[in-house]
Amino acid sequence: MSAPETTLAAPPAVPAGDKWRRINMAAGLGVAASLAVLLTADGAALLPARVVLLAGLVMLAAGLLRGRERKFFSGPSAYVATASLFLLAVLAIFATEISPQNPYDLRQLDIMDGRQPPGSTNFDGSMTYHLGTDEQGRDILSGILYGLRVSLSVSIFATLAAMAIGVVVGIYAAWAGGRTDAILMRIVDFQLSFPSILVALMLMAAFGRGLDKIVIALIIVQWAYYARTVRGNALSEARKEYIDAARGLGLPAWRIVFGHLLPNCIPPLIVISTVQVANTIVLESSLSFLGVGVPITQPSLGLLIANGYGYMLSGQYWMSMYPGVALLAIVASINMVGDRLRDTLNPRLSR
Amino acid sequence: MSVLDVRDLQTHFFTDAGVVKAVDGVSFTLGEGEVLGLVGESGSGKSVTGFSILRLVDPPGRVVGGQILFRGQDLAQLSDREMRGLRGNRIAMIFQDPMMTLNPVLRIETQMVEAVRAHERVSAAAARDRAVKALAKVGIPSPEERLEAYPHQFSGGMRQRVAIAIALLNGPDLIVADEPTTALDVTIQSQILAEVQELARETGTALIWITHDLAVVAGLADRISVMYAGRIVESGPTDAVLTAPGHPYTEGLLGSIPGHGRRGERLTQIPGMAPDMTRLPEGCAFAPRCPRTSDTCRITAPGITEIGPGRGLRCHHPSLAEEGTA
Amino acid sequence: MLVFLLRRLAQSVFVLIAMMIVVFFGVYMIGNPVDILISPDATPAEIDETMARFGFDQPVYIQFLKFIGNALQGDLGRSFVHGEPAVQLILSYMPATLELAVMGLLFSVLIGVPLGVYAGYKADRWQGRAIMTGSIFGFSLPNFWVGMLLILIFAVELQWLPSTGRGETVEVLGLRLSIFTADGLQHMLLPALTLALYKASLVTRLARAGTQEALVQDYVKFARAKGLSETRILVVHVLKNIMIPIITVLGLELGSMIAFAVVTETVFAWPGMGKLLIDSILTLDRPVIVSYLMLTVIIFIVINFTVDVIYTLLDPRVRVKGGTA
Repeated sequence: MSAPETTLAAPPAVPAGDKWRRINMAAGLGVAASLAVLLTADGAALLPARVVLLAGLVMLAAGLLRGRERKFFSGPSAYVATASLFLLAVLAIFATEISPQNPYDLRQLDIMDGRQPPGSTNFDGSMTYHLGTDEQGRDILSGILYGLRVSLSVSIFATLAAMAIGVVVGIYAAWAGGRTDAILMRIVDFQLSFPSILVALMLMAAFGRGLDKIVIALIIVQWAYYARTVRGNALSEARKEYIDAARGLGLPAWRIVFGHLLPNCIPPLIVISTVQVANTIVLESSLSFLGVGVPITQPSLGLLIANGYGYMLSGQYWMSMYPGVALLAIVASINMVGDRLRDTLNPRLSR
Repeated sequence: MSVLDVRDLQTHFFTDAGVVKAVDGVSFTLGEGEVLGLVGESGSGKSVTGFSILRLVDPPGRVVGGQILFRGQDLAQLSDREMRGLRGNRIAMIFQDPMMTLNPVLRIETQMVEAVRAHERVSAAAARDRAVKALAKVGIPSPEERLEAYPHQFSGGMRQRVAIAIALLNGPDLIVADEPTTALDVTIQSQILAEVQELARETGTALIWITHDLAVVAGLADRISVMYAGRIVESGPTDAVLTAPGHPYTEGLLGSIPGHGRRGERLTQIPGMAPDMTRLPEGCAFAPRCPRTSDTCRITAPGITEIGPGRGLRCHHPSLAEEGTA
Repeated sequence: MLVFLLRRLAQSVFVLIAMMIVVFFGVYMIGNPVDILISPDATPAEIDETMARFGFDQPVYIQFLKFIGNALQGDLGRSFVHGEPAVQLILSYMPATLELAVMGLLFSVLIGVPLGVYAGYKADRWQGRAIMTGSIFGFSLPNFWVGMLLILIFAVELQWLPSTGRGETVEVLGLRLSIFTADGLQHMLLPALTLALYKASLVTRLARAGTQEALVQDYVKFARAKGLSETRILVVHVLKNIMIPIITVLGLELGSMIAFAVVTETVFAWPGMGKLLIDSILTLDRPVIVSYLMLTVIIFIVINFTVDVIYTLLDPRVRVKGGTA
């Protein structure tokens, strides 16, 4: 390739206006900061942090769709899915403020109120159990709201972490090539040849129950998938002219990787990870249902369903039914939004 | 009565980029056993005309005007079911690419027998018998055995023979052949041409032979219609059109064929490219490429003028036979 | 083709060995199995004695070699809970899972293919869109919850079908199977349907994409030009073409079907190896867990191998290439 050509071939501009790039940055920082506050602080700082979190997420979503709203919102299902996803996200984020009861605080539970049908009240009439109670006297509605939060945060965190690991491994494999690439991809193939539920089940069997453990298990079952995708993208991206150009300019490897390769491998991942969050929620709830997921003290939706399962046959359907409806709603909305996103952002992947 | 009478056919494609008038007022008639050569560049609307006759235009295309009378009956008036009864039975079609027209995962037998049994209540054995005869007729050796084969076990020429055999199965009155020899080797091309000509004559089947190659239809067709940008610009008996073309486009087509007795002469070519069908010029569509273009051509599209027995022409400045030498 | 198959075989052996290593170090090295084997208040001498009896006092590589040696002879230890050799135990539970998985696969094809072909045929109409939206729900529905709802509706409320268990079985070729008795089939209907739901959505999407692709092919237009009915074109011409990729995918999915049967079997108390696995995990019955894993790996390998062969048989183009090679 001749010299003038190399200087002309610029990397494809990441399509973000300066204003939007700043907004996205601010939103991202806001989300990160509010999460940090939520995880460490308690008391008065929580509510503002939650508001910031929600606002940041909405801004990020807006930034993602910028200029493509019309394509995204074609047909009624896109509106329904987005609205329902937003609603569920609000419910999960503000679960503490909204729910009538803290279902994880065993002192608030009264075993005397166990297995009450929907609409019944507690003994002094101070509280109505709109969706009934479970066998420990836990308000199902509160349990759902908190369970939604557990399911969502576990799945989103695990997906993001798995994506980060997958991106690093995938790009490293593509960049290093040769034997490193071959070995890494053998490992990836090996892991992907087993269904994720089986791998997760085994890991949880070895680890035991726990929020941190299920997150780790969910990361382990997912990373390989991202690594393979990113490697493929990075390889095809690396063959393009602008990478040659950047090399020709004598840019250091890390700048080419972080400045050029990485930004171009990310967009397809957004679509994949959306759907992957939904899959992870289902996987988490299945594991919890099987009794190897979240701890009993912090039930997710899957565990709530499992707890109510025994009473289903005797007609006390509400303990399993309503958490299941919530689970279906969140998974279906995410999947539908993901479906629309795929058509909108990445027509190449559709079908 | 004529077998086929197409009157002012209009088939438009409603695309995002605008309406494409792929066929814009095409008329012709076809008598019993007659062979019509429909000639034009790719994109001139000749194939769409063929598909319009069978009512097989894919969306976003649609026949929006005109009539197609098959033995006096307007095809547009038929129900889907009645139309299906005609297709492959009274009106058959042969496609351009023999590699694509046969279903790769079905045996030849299946594909032939179903074509018979779609139209007649006959036993599978009888249908199979007819298939063997049809294959033999188009020159396929040991047809009994070949019936068992899958399409990929045939060469391109053989596949096209199979397709022709399928078209002949039910003894149709009309065959629409859409560039059936274009994808084949030259030697096989001429073999198939000769065979089809003989078959058509033998069975009295009328034939519409769609091609971009005037030379192909020269020895085959009784009449020739030349299409350009969705319209027939010149039509007439083959000999008349070939010896005394009236339209500059026809002349151009003829000039680009190397031929007998023309050794040493320069081959001419038509300047420019096939027009963009979404943005046709206002007047004569051929004007931008025409050597004789005038201001009139750019403003008004020429109508059809009769310039001889059975000869029609769309041109403001025809090169008449008398002036041909000037 | 022979070369290709041999290469696949070599790959499979590699996977098997890798899996043995992972299983050994994964299951045997995490935690101390002795803690579970003996009571917490055992004396140090008793612990040492048990360690020695199971060979846990030996160096890791010796233990590993022993494990491999025994595994090659089909011995993966005895179940702590059932007292039977673990491999035998799993093999006796396996037919129930296999017939459930096969039935589920069958259901997913019977549901998914017609829906998908129809959705592809009516891709731009409301029917096609409705089916696609439905398929999103199909793979969003949590498997276990669907199973519970089905039990609630058909077993508890309507009382049409039994809720749990396997029903009457008969011995066919030495395997105890439910598919051949009316009672067994009744028991199998709900779990198989539950298991099929997710895959049915997948098949619907595959079939739709394949149909859309096939419908614009020349051979479909030619079939129309022959005067064939739309039904025949869809059922014969399109279907035969799209079945090849679908069967390939589904064959590969049989493995994941077996894995997902873990959840379904738990909901319906279906006595298959998935339920056995969950019970073993909850009771930390390690030999059974190990045997389950090893047997599943073998099943996966066999499935992958078979799919390759079936694929070759289904596609005449591949078949001929193979024949001449």
